[in-house]
Amino acid sequence: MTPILLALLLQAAPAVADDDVPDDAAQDTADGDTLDDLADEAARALAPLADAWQRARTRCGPDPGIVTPIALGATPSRDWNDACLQVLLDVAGRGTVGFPAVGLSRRLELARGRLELGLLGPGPLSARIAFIATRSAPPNGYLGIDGEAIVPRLRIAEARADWAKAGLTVAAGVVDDLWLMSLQSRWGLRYIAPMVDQQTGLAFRADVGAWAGWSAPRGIASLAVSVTGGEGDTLRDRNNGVNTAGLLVVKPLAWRDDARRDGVLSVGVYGRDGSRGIDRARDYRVGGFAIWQHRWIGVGASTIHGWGLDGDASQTPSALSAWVRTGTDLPAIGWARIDRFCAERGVPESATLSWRVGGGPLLPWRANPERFAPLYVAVGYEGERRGALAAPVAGAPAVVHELWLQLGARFGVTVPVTPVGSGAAP
Amino acid sequence: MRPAAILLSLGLCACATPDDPRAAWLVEQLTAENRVWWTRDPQRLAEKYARMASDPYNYMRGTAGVFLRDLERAGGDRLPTAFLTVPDAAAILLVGDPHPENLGGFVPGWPPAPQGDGFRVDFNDFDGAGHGPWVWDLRRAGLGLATLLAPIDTCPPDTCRDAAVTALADAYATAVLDPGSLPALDDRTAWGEVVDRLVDDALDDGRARDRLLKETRPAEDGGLTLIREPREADGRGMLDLTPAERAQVDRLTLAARDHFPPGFRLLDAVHRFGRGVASLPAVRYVWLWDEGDPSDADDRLVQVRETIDPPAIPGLAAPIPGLFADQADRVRAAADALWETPGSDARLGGLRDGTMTFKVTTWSGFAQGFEHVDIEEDAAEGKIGPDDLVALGRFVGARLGHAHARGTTAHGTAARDALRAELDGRTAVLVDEVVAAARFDLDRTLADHQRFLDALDRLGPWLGADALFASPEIP
Repeated sequence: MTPILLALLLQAAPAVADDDVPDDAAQDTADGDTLDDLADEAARALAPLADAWQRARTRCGPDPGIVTPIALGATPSRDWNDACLQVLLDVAGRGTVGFPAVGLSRRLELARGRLELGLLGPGPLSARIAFIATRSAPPNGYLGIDGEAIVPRLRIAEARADWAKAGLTVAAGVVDDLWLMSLQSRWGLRYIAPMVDQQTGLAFRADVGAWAGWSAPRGIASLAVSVTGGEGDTLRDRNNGVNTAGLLVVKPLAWRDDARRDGVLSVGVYGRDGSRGIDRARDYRVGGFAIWQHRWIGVGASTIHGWGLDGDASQTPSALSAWVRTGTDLPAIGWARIDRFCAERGVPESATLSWRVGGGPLLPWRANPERFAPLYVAVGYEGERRGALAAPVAGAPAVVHELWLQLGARFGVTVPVTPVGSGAAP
Repeated sequence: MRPAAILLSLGLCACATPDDPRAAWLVEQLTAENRVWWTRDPQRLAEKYARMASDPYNYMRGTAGVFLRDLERAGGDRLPTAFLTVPDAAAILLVGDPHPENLGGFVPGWPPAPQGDGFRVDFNDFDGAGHGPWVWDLRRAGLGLATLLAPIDTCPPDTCRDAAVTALADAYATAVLDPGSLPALDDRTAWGEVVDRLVDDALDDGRARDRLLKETRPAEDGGLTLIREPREADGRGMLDLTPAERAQVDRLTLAARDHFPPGFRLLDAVHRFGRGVASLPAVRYVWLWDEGDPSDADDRLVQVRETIDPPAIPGLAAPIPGLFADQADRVRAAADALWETPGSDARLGGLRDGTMTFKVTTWSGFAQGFEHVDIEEDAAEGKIGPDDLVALGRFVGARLGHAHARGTTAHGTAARDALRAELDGRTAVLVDEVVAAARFDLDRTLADHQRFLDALDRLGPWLGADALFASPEIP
């Protein structure tokens, strides 16, 4: 389930009792009136959106599911005459100050720009397409589109079918990476930072190909296999080989009725065989994770080992990540994460250690009973220390720090629509 | 157990790891670096690869991007630097690819003095210019020099070649710390026979208008017209413009008027093929122009050549974003900032045509540069000796040191201050580092050249990329 959807659904879930809302709505502060006025105004402005969301949920179900990258067998099949259109937006701007001040060390950037459209139904069928914003010229280049404009580019284009009773799912197109999305959806804060696996090239965000999955009742165990081109979503396939990957996720406590109250523990193992580039450099992966997700907190750790990286078959990279973050029932986001990436296992000097911590409020949390809080303000600190053989300049000081402030919005709408098959299209 | 072994047992394995993993990486890097060419004009790319295959120096010239990727590639196979101790030192304006063949002659001013007064040899190619760690330029210059000297029998590695690289590094530091102690760079007698011969040839050819006379013939109207030459087996040639090229030249001519004196007339233009190495597939025109005189007294040549983005320069944190207004500005401003005499080529300028950017440069007998093949021949014939080759290294190092010190950092501060802070009292450390790096980089370049030849044999003239541009596009 996407972080967006997870957040929205849980924030809007009727299961959250009103008395869970902090009873300080009428706080007495010197500027309390102003704050309350702002909250009321925000509530009024958001009320139509929240109402529309609720109406759509009534018809489209509590788990729209279509914009879920990897939720094996979790999506219920719908009536053949029923369908829903989902639109999700995730945008954010960020101001960053970096130390040491080399080059452009103070910058304003579009930290997040993502549009996702999904059509759920009819029946077990669904499709989704996602675009992200990207700068059309490389960092130090000038050959772009209309100068170096920010342009949308396709990230996901997936056709999918879910047979809920059998727990089966198949998807094809530009599809999510099994490993990365299993981690990212549980980390839940992609809009703050991508996973270290994606940052370092150990995993693609998406690739051209297909996957199929089976999920046991209550999601106690899920198994998925994928076949993809192996070059990621930014390059054409370079060779006749394909990447084959498998992911097994077990939720040992998911059978319990009170699993949601106590949190969900997920344990996963992953393997990938593949090649990269024209000359088919090896590109293997083995990984595993253990993640506990609770309404108030999430804790996770993952590791992945590789043989070959970015077309360089001689590299033997590995990554380790451990994190803790706030849960979805809290009126704020907060996180702490530490990552260690090693370009060559057994060579400690080739390791990069990075750490990040931060947080901020979800807004306007108290403004409506559904806790529809699509905005956030976050402050973050990130640091990175590179070993002598990992620094961009070998031997040079390689500790960098960044402080940033980010304002973002993440929300979507679901609209019941009438399905039109391709045969009826003009 | 490796995942490949597991999946092999299922019969799913798809990879074919070559015996030499670096060969696959090399193919991948070159394919990525040359994407702009193989998606547009595959035949020119095959010619470029063939030129790179011809000898290690040309291979080195065609792989500046691979050189930079190696520098930033994490792992044990690289050399650490003892420098870059202050942030500004990693944000110096770099020449980009300061190997010896990227130095050439200029006669500053316009119109240039017919006798070549003020002639100087300076860097003539800033296609890779950008901000980054100054040590990269020096290391690249050391590799260029070492690669040039490698095939010369009279320049043994342990004596002559190391001495030349030592001279390069030492002169660089001197140019930064105590420039007054170096001979004047336009004193042709102070830098050995290689430099002296270049100056000699350039002045002779320039004074005789040799380039103009070689490339043109009398036209029916009494003026000159450019000679057309059918393309040779290696791709060289001068051909008539196609209608599309003619239209582009017309647009460029309109845009170029500000770069030329009043009375500018474009008399003729041809498409020049097969020149250069890294930029061989780029569109390259030769223009014959004048200032309105009906005779050929004021006829001149310029080259108008497409430029593309430089490879990203690795830095302390991340590549420093481009700080120039655009590609055309980068080409002109970097040269003016790093030349000893801004405006050394009065015709230098950037022209835009849609998404393409062109660099305009004077093409005359004065504008010739070092040629590694000529130097190798001169050494074989005994016309130049080891001392001259060491002096060549000293000249390149001094030129680079002067250029860096003259420039600015990405923050707009004086580069000389940052460089002095780095180098003061550390010349010996620098020399040791540059000499060790040159040996290391040369060994790798020679081995990579062999890998490149093997890959061409194995994968074909496009290193296998022909399968990509032959495949149907995504609808």
